[in-house]
Amino acid sequence: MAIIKVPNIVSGDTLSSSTYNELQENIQDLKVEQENIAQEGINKSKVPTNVLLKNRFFSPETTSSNSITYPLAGGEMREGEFLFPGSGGFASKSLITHNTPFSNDGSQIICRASAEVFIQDYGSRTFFQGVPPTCIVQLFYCLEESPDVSSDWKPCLGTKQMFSLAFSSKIPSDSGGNFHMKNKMVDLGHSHPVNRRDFDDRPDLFTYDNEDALGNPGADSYNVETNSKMFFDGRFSYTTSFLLNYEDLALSDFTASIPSSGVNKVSFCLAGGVYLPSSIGFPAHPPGTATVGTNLDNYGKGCGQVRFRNFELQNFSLSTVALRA
Amino acid sequence: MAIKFPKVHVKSGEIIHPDDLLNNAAEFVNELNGSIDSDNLKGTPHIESFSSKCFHEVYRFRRPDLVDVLPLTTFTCPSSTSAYVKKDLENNQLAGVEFDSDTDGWAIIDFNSTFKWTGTGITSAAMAADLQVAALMSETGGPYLESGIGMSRTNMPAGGWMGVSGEDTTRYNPCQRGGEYSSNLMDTIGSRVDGLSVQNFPLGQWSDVPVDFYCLQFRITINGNLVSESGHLFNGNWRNAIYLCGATPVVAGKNRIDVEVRAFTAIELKTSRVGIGARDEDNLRGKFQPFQMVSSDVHPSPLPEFESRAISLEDIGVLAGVTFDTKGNHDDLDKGIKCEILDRHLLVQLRKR
Repeated sequence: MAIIKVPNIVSGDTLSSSTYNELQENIQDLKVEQENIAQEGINKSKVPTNVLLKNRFFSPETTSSNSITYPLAGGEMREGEFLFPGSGGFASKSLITHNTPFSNDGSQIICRASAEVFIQDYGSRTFFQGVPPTCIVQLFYCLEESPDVSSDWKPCLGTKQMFSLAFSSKIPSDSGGNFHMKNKMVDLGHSHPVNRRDFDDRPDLFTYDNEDALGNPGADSYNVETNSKMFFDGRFSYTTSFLLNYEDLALSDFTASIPSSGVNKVSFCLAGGVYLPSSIGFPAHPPGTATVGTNLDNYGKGCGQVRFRNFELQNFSLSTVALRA
Repeated sequence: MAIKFPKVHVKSGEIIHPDDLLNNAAEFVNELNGSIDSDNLKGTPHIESFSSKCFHEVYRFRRPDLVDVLPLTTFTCPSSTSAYVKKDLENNQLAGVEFDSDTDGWAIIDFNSTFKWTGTGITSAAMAADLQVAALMSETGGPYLESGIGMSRTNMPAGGWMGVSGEDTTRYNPCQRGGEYSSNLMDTIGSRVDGLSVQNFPLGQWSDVPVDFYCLQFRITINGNLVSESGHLFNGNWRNAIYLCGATPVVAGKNRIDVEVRAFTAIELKTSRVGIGARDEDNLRGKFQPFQMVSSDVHPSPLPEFESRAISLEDIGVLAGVTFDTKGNHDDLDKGIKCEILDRHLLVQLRKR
């Protein structure tokens, strides 16, 4: 401890030069250390701005709404497989770059991300295997200067989240009072067209619009194409916070070696995937173009056209902050 | 700072008294020897003047982790209690950190996780018979409602629209609840198109008794005291996630921050079952006017334990008045429900005073 010892000088004694010099030297050699400072002696006026939070970044910088559509194209995606920035056209929206050096000095980066997850209801429990789709969202990071879809992205462990609904409305079909089967039955070999279902006989078909005042037959009130009146839309909240320690980089098995001096920047992004069971005919009948609902050679004959739906991330927000060591 | 140095000025030719010398030295030595404070420091110190962890410390718990032996440790919510727990029956921890704080301060806490439900939520053959799945069980194998290809999984909770099709005319829609809606399609000359034929599916069954009353609830505690708590997260969201955050004072010494969860059946207590829920002499419901009194909003009771294929279709058939295929080429129903918590991340930032 840097303590200044004051020599014992007694009245009446001769004050020697060595005694006097001892005092001077003690002062001269003083190096102020932690012990010289009173407990809680330094108040906030002496703490520099941002001494704790070194750098902060936000994305998007404006409050305008934004969204990413995750297409199902590109093959069936199972749990653990994800789209990355670029392939879904969302690189400029979900990407955030912590644009300051990140080195082995004990500093840490915290990334927070949030988004609204929207899954359209397309009657999944009323056709094929009856499995509602599950979408997966996770935070990823990479160390490259210009990250894109082909970059070496690593998952932020512990931030994977899954979303799906247990229930769905139904695909428009005869069971909903649909008039769709009228001529299809002839196509299938029946001798005459089929009448629509009688609402009086099937009061449970409350999704069926009864005939109008002019006697025109009603139709199924559901509309798969516009998603109208299909009331099991799924809206979920994805929110996460993630701590990135420098030591994590060495354990993350990056393809490129990490310079001993650290990296110039760290980028984060949200990525998603969709789990769909292979037995429902995807990807042979990709979203939007599927004809499995009306193709008589397919399992879905008798119902409206099955239209698989992409899911969306909406109103997302990401931020990063570096904490000093 | 209250230094008045020198306290004694010595005039030329005057003999220096030792006490004056000592007093003058003591005036600043006492300050230097442990009493320096902000008044002694000019301007703002350099950032690097502050030692590591002088302002904060950060702790985390996550699954999976890079150092895990297993890629993921799933936390299974116990069905033995409706109370909050921090470890499951396999002694897996949900999330928690323990730390020694050398000063008072406060903690900023973030937690997120994802979870999935498995099971029908059906607790007995009688409950299964009460749902419309009873008359629509697959006789062709697989965990599906009756269908040529298999539709609307019966290993998920009943509720909403569920797919179904069949080939005979004995299947009612829905299962005799509120009447028999078995009217067939008719063609334009009045001939009947038999029931639920394979040529006009997919057909739908509307389940008006959804099994969606099982739920989770999370909370964050510090040394056993509540920091924040979620609402009820019901199994209607088959896969879902939770984010909880909070800030709490921390006292110097050992502290423990945990995330706890409870899974329970959230049913309302009724004082009577003579109302709309009661059956009439024909074993039908809905005849009577509601006469139920809610005695509590939610009565938590443990989840029904999940057991694979523990409810036989034969038992359901007897109760539902349906004869199932005796060849046994169909699946029995799963019993109960379970919830597993998968990925999770707890972040605790300790800010020191």
